[in-house]
Amino acid sequence: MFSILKYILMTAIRDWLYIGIVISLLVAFGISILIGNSAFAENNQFSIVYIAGSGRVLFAIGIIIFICFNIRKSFDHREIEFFLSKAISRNKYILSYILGFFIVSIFALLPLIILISIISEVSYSGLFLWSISIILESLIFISFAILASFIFKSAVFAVLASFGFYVISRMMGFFVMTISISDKIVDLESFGKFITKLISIVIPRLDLFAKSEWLIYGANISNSDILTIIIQSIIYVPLMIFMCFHDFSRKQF
Amino acid sequence: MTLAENNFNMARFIDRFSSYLFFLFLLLQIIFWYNTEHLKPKLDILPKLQSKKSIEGLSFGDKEFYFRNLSIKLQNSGDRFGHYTSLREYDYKLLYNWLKTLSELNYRSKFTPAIATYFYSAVPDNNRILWIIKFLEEYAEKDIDKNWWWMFQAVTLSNMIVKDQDTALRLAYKLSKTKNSDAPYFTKQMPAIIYSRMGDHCQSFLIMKDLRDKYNNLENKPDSTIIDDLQFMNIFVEEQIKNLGKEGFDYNKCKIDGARY
Repeated sequence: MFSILKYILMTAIRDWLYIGIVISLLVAFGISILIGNSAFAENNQFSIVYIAGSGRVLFAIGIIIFICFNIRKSFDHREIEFFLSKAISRNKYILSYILGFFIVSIFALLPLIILISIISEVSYSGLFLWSISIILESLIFISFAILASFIFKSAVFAVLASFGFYVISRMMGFFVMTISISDKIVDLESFGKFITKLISIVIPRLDLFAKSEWLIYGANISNSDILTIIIQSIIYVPLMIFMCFHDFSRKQF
Repeated sequence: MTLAENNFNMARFIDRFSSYLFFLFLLLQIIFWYNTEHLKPKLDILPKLQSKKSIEGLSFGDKEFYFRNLSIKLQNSGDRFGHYTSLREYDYKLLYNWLKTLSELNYRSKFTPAIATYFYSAVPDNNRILWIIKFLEEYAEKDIDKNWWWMFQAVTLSNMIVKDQDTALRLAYKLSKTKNSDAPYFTKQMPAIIYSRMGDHCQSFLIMKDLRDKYNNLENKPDSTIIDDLQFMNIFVEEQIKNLGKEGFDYNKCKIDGARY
């Protein structure tokens, strides 16, 4: 198990994941500072929000592409078969893979958290909760990206599915609002409502995660949103892991 | 003629006339450019107002990021590829709606009232400034204890720029309701100051005298601010008595006009 973890960390370095993320974050940081300084008022608040928002998207894009291509490459190069030929169960193999990617993502998130913390006027209590929240958010979309990479035979398709999942999860608040405010009894509309409701059942509420406002105005640990985030992660990450177990157990090599 | 022969002929045709085909498509591109040259992006001074639903959808769960993004958009509006637009050309009703939308998106940020007060109010048109006053009034009265400063700005704009004393007085009364202990005492004195500007020295005298008497009874330790405030109120009350004397009116006969605001 340890050797798989080490292997994933090495592939992250080999594929220039960290360097890529750090360079793109530094560019985003520079642009955020520039935009913040051009603002009429609240310059630091603008910079904080811009670096947090753009950094989160860059991180998500980077880590999803890395995971999907990494796993598909392992299939294509028969690395998975090699690992499974050793004394390791399929479930243990999946677990070590997931754990490896979680560790990689936490390392990749550190530069973003450090960059935000050096901007003055940031709320440190808010930053603490924001950091926990973005780690939990990343666990959810990483689990999905791993599952998508195991299910789909094309890395490109897995990447697109993961991006789609991320965007829809981020828009879940909007979907839930649409369901609740649409009260017209029209066949087509009620069908759409039904479909939206179905989607909202299986897609996590990532719109509640890592809100930039916490970084400026602080966040209360007793805030119900934070409890919701934790519960959502506790439910959704194992759900994805068990789906991975199920899918991988049926794979023929 | 078989299909294979057909394909062969097509390939031969392309091989033979590829240079001509290149020029033909280049010509078509030039014709296309000629016909679409006039289609330029429409440059509105202010972006179109977004509905609450579209804001919810496009914010992707991070309303703060979207708020900052729209704020920068609003700040940079009117920049038409290097051509700056006079504030006179802005649609201030649309601007008011934008300011309202932004303040609903993030009420805690002071960016929206700040840009309204210090930037968009600098238009030489009183009708347009009234939209800014309306926004500041609505913004500040949601939480007058925290936002007394923006109500004060609304009073100042009405009184000094638009010179609409009735509006200024109405807003001054709203300002005086702030219970923020950090707010300066002039927030309470503002109705008296506006009355004085309106020439109603009786009301001005009574309000300021009442404030001075209440202030004297406060159990604050005297410091330089309190002494300055008291001195100002004493001078103000004396000035009003003098003004009433000039009008030949006995200040003892002054009565509070309770019906007003």
